[in-house]
Amino acid sequence: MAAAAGIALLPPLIPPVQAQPSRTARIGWLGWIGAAGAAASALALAAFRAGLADRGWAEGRGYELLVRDGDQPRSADLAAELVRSGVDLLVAQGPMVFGARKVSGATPVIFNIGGDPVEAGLVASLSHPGGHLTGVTSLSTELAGKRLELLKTAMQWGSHVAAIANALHAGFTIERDAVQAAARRLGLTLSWHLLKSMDDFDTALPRIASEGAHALLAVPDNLINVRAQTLARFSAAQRLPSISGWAAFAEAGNLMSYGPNVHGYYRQMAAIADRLLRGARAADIAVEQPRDIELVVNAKVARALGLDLPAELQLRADRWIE
Amino acid sequence: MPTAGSNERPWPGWWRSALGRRYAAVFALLVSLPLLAYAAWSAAQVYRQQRDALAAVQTAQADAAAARIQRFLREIELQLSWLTALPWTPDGAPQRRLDALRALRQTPAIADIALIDGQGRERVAESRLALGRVDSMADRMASPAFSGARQARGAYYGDVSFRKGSEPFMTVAVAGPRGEAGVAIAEVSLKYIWDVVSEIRIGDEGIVYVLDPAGRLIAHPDINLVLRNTDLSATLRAFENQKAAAPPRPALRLVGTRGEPVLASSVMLAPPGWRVVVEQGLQEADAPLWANVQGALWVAAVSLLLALSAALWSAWRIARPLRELAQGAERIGAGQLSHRIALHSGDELERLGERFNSMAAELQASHDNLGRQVEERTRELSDANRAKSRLLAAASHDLRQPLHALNLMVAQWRRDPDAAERRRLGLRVEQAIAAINALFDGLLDVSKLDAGVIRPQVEAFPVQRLLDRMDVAHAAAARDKGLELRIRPCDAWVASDPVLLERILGNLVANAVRYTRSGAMLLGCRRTRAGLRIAVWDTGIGIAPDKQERIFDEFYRLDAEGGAADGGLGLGLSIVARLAGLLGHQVSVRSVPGRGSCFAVTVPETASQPHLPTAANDSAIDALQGRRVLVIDNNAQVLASTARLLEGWGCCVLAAHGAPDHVHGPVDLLLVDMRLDHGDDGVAAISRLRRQWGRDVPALILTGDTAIGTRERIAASGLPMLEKPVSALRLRSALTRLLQRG
Repeated sequence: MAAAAGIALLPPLIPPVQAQPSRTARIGWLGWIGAAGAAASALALAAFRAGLADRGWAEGRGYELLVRDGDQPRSADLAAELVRSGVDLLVAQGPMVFGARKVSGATPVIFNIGGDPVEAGLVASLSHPGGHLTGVTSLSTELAGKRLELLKTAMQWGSHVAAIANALHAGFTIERDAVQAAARRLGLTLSWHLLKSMDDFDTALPRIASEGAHALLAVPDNLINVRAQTLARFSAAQRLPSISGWAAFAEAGNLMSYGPNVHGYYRQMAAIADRLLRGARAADIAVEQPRDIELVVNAKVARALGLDLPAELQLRADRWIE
Repeated sequence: MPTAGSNERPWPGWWRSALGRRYAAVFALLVSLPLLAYAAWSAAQVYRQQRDALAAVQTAQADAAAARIQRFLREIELQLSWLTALPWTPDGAPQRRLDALRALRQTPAIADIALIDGQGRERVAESRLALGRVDSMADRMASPAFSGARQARGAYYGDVSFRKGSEPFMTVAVAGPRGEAGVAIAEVSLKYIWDVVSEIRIGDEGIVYVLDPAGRLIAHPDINLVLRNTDLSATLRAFENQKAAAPPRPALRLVGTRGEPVLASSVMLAPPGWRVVVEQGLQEADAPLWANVQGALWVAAVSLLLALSAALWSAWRIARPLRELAQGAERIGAGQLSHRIALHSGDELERLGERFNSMAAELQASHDNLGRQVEERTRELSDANRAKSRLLAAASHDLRQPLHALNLMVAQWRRDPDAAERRRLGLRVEQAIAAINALFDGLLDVSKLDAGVIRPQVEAFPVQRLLDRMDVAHAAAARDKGLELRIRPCDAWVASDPVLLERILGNLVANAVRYTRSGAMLLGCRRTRAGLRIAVWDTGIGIAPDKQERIFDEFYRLDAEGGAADGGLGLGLSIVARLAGLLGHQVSVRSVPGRGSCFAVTVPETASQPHLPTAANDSAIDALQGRRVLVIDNNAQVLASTARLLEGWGCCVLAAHGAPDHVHGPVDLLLVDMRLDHGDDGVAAISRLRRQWGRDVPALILTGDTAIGTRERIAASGLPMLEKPVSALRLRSALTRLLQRG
């Protein structure tokens, strides 16, 4: 009698087991190489893996990553291929989401774009995406003007800024308009040098040099990230203060970067992936924006350029690279 | 040898024992009920205590979290207050801009800062996203932040708003101490409170979160819930309703932010009016309670098992001996009286077993005893039977003589018509009949004595009367033999049955006469300690010492050395012995062969009684005269001769074969034969007639039936009785006595 009562009480006493999927999760990664080549995606991938590991996913045992790199025109096909091989979710970089969206069906898609996902039509609202897509934004557009302002504080003479950008970058036009407006407010002149592939660097850079710009704004993009070092050498040679969106840019030898912390950024993506793998719906996961925007200044480069960084810049810098 | 206890088949199992089941049920109930009751009570206690403790702990944790959030907000306040320490100067903007940048640097939570001067004009605006402004002079006088900061003591906290519908921001504004210092307004990203709430651990999975006054979630370990504008106004209302109860407030039971049932407590964070909520899963919160209940139930289960074992053991300890007892009783009942049981429990049961054994032993002994007694009785009975057979044999032998003589005499009577001869023969016939009568009397007496039908009627009477009757009865016979019978008078009174004592003495005297050839006999009394000793001395042949015992046996006659010529069956002394035994008198004999014997009977003496009137003796003969007597006998011959006899005595006789229904005239006396026709008997007839006439008419029963049943019936009725064949004299005296008694 007592034993039966005891047994009846056992179920509530057994702690509920976390709803781990019984089989290995399959994550499809749509990397955007665009013009940058395969290596571009590697950084992001590494950060994403680290984020998943933080959340208790063991690669190989808990999940497996299927990586397909391509450019936007091929995104749909690659996505379809991944969906056919039975992935539980798709992680699409940049413009890859647009193709993936067409073929993903019910498979959740995590996007990672620089612009406004609501404007891009990916989600109904940031708080309630409403469909099968959710993800993170890098606030690239919002930060565009601020980058220019920071660049201006670093410029000790002149008012001409050369802007170099990947023309294929999703939402580029919006970003360009923001930069343009900011330039007007700041009293700067802009010249745009658009790239479509790696090779275009060879033509753009001499043009920038010849034009006599006083500073370089690199719109953050995988392409730029891959050739950060090239740009660093170039700006060092041309004695140009330069700024972009990712810390790697400054680390590569450029003067500054102002943007989200990449690790935290991809950790946010991993968190979303974790939630989706544990059974949440994409419609219920709000789009996340980076919380911490960091200003990374390369002091060595500043000295090399002979720049005397003003107080306001020094006050604002979150990280110095010596 | 007692047989050992049962060890044939093993104990069948306590559940088949009613005692075991009952014990098990009682023990189980007695143990489990209190334990379960205790478990329930204890669980209730633990539940209450645990809930109280939980509420206290949760409130403390909420307080701690609120304190940390408070610090967070204070930090911001502090930063802003530094920015409004000094009054504005017209060219103060660039310096102040640096201050603003410094503030941005030091407080990551601040997304935008605006410094407004004393006149409400924006002087500095810096942002992490937007472009900075310096001396824009925009009028911010009307903004709620500006006026609010001016009014509030300390900081002004605006409502929480969600940028782009997803990011929670709040305006915090601090006014300087003096009007000229202006106001610093900051836009604070509340995502930075996430650091505070996500660090706080409540138990294993408990969480802390923050609600704004409208019930919107503004901080939660799962940031996504915040970004989704989760509305927890219901929870907020629940907490506000609870405000009425006095602290310590109990934890509320809600559906938690992750969907599972939780227990939650909250505190208010004053300046921004936020509610800090601590939430813990119900399962986790109640885990110690369930552990306690489980523990108690395990204890109850174990105790129940122990109780059942104890019950089983106790029942077995009692039931096994009981079973042995039952089996033992069965065996003994089946006749195995030597069966003994062995119980060694050292308690009442062992004593019971011992008692059982002693009972069995006694049963066995009494059984053996009974067996012996039966044997004895059987032996006695067979002895008595043999004695009776002997008696019959001797009687028939002795009977043949006078019958043979009668035969001869009758034959002679027929042959010889001579009157004188006939007269002589008649005399001898009478003698022969007398002999036969005596024989029958003797036989009847013995059988009556053996049947135990004779009941002595003890009365006090003078012994002299008896002595006189002896004289009357035997003096003549003694004279005939040439013996002298001397009787010493005595004035003592004795308590005995006169008739039976007369018989005893009569037999003793008759024996003395019979066995004395010459000399004298003396009959006298002597007072002794034991009573009055009536002795008969004779100078007869005497009895050898070795025969003195045997003379009291039936039919024992001393070998007649010429003394037993006049018959004597040898029953006399046996009758004497029986009668004496019946009356409780002692009989003794002293004798020397050749010299003589002395037989004595000792009778209890009693005080003399006043002389009873013996009148009516003379009128005895007249008592019957003219009396009306009803005679009933189913034998016509007997009836006729009895009637003639009575008429000869002067009675008026009414004769009937059976009890008549109607009689003419009154009846003075009834004389009824026991055996009547139609299953009727004398006793019933007499009582019927007495009822009919309404008076107890004197009645006498005549019977020839010696069966004990009949005798007892007559004795029980209390009616006087005579046995057939009855002499006329005896009949007459009996009737006279009856009429005299009235």
